[in-house]
Amino acid sequence: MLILNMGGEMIYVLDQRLRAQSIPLAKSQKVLADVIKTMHFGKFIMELFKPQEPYSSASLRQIFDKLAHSSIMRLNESSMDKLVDLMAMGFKYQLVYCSFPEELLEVTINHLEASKALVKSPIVANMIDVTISLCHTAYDRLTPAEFALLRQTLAAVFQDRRVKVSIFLQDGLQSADGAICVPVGGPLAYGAERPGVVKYIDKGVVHRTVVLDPAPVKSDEWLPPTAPSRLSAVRWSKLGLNLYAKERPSAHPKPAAAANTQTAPAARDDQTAGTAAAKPPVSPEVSSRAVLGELNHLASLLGQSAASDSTADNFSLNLFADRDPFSISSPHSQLSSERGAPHVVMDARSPHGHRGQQVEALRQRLDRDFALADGGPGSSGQGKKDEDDLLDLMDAATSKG
Amino acid sequence: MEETSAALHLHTTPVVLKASPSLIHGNLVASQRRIAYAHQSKVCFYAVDSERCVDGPTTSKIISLHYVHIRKAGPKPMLIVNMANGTQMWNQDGTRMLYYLPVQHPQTSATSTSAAQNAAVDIGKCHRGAAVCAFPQADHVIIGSSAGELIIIRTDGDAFHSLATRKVASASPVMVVACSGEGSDQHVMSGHANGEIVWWRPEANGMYMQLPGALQHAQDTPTCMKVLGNTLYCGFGTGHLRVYDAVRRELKIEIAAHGRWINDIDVRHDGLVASVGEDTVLNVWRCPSCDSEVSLAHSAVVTESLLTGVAFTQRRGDTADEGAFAVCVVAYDSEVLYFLSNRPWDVNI
Repeated sequence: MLILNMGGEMIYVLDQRLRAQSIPLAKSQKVLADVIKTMHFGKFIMELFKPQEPYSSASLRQIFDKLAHSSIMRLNESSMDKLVDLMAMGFKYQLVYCSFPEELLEVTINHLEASKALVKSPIVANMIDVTISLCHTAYDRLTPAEFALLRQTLAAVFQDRRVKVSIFLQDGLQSADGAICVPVGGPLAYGAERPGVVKYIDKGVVHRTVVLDPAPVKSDEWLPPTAPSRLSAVRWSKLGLNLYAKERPSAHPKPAAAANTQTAPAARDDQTAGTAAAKPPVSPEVSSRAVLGELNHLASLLGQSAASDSTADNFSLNLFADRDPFSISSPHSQLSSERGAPHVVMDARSPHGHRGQQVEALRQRLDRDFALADGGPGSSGQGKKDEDDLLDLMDAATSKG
Repeated sequence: MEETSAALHLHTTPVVLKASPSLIHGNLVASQRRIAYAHQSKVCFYAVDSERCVDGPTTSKIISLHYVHIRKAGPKPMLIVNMANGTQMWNQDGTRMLYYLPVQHPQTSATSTSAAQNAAVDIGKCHRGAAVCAFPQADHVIIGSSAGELIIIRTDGDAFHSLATRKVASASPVMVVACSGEGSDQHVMSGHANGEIVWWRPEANGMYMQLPGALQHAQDTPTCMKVLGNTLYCGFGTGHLRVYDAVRRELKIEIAAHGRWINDIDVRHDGLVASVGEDTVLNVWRCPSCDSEVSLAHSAVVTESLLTGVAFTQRRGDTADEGAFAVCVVAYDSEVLYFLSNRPWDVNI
């Protein structure tokens, strides 16, 4: 579930950035198709569905690094780090927002269905359908308690991970310290009742009902449960849909104003400033030979999937082509960054909002190089040198403030 | 924190913890102004009197924490840590381990076809829930297991001896355990993953007998259980707080306490019941027994946080004032300990 959901988020981010940087549609579709095919490769998927403890942050980074580079796209280290942060925070938000643990299955299926819709390919659709079927086989039989344990286990993976994401901050989904803001009110959990109802029972029969008035959450702030049943064949959750689409789905009403809260922790000293940015430590178990062996096996399965046809087709993609989004002085930052708290700018607005001329030159260069790789004159022997030049060009475009 | 009444006062200076609490059920326990919670696989303490955060023992993945009293062990409670691979029993401040009970792994079946099937059984095996049942010669510490068993351990505070294992008829994993009453009127209650609440008659030799008439709450999950006298309080995943007559084995009151999952409840000797849920709300109910009228003493929204633990305690210096109490609340992924009291915080004690 961890890999599938974070993988789904990765597809969303890649799709949005490929569009934003005006990568030709054919190339974009190929990138996404290659990544999805690798993620849903038969042996790899079967390994994922074996009962196991969740992977550590370092292991996840390794897996997604390999997934991202299974296509013709190449990402530099910085872009890869930011991509993983976006994926993690996207799934963490969905995890926290689940109104009850079974909604996790909805989130997973939403990610899979959306991936299928993004890439118009019968092969990809078939592979994803197999994965969806495996999800139902694995998870439909779980009890509510087991779903709760699953959610708690996933919550531990993302504990203390608080990378600020600009669109989350804009939408009020994150607080200034990077914590996910839990909504107040909204749809009741499946099986829940409006808080305050007290039933007095005698020998199994309710003989009296009284309504108290708990909390500043007024009765009209609680909506009826959205879920038609505990596990539904009909998709009802807004979680797991594309957060980076222009018309973003809103899973819950915005949380209540925090003007009078005292939830912000006391000011930290320099020694703890990095805590919010620090990834969770690798548990001792991960360092064991058995787990490393399992990871290597898993990573090797990724290498067996359909890879890109030719290294000459590769192109580098800098996902965040604006100035360094971690820069506190960046004029593109929506909020001033706290010292030590990373901040990823994810611009889901116009694709032409940044340095149009440089990006246009890059796009033309990419088109020319793809034409050469497809058999145009001068194609042989030029691929490696051009790839290096592309990387240099991408890095140069990034570094120029 | 938004409050509906002035019944409880929030500490003006937030208490900053060294590590954030994990999202597990009942992730806050308190005893004698010492508070404990779990951060991943580590137990963390906060001492109210010294206002210090102290690291406790590091174990494997923590499932739940409990403070229990063993009569012959003196006034200081024992800390029980349920984990993925067993249960550890520590002294109050976690500086000395008293006993370790490992999870029993199933014997490999002659018909099992693959290591994967055995692995599927092992993943998710854990201990969960703890209670103490008192007998004249010694006390019993009762630990619940994911195999649907109650593991009974006999102790006099110094020595520990595994007495018996009793399996519930449904074999549904144990989620919570509690013990009510005194002497020959004691009952043990266990809450299970299939939503049932089961009653047991404890025996000195450990051969606890499952009593008929388990109460069913289909598609619901008990997450926390506390006892006051002969009244059993149980929080559930649907946000319901259910109150039972522990002697007659009857459900008496059902409170729709929260709009989301209840993660923890605590009960004070005077009948105050605190509950916290994933709807960000702390509620304090007045419900001294299963036959009393329920009222709401306090309700507050702790914004932006999944609340994962609540415990009644006292503020520093409150010993002389029996009417004074404090409530502590923690949230997943937040290093803030919310400290509320029914006395104003600026009053010198």
